[in-house]
Amino acid sequence: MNTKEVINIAGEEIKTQSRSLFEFLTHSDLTFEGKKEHEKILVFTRRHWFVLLAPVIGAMFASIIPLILVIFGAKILVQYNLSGIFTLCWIIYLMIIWFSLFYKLTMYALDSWIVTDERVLDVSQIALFKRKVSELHLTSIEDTSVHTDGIIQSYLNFGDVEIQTAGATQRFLFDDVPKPLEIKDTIMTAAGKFVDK
Amino acid sequence: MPTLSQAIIIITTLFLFGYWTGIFLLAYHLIRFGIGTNPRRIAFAMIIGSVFLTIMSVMLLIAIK
Repeated sequence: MNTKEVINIAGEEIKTQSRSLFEFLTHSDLTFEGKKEHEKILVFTRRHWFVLLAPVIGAMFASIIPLILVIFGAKILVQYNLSGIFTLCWIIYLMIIWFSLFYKLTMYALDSWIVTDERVLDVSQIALFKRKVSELHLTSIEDTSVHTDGIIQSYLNFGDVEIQTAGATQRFLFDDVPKPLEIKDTIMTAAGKFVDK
Repeated sequence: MPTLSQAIIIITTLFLFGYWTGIFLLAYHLIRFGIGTNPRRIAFAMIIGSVFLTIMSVMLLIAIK
């Protein structure tokens, strides 16, 4: 898999010679902590965007709940001159929803899987201050399998990739990742090439 | 004994302080540990939205006073 394909899977772009003010939002050298200089990233992926749909829709619905109070309690709010404080409470409520939504987005963005030409890395962001990085050498890979379950996963082409290792108990799971078949093929090809070296 | 408007100001100020501490922590994690451009975009959108909501809340707070 070449660099361009890696970028497609990750939805990221590689650094170019751009010098705009907001360059940091559009360009990245796609590297990670502990990457060896000679190491080449083959796959970088996060969960599929579909997993974000529930929290986003939930936040949208939650943010309009106070409208129901406005519709049914407008008379009382005006009568007791509470419209100002009600709006302030609404904004504070929106800020709580905003924070909760971005907390989930942060967990999503920091939870990732990386396949290089030497190893597989599973970066799990369990909570804000709880992070787990697991590493698996390509030589330890026995076989990989793909699980897609249901219409949505089949239609949107995402699912789980499971890597069985030489150790009987240990296994690596890429959870709800896009293009699972391509990822599985890349891992097996990389493992094959690494063993041949 | 603080008046009602003073109490609202104190509570809102404390809330805003806590809120921005949380936003800072999220943005720090996204920029420090995030790989690629998406975490930075998320951090940017979060901060822009938070600034807007904070301005709204301060304006409403002044209006109540």
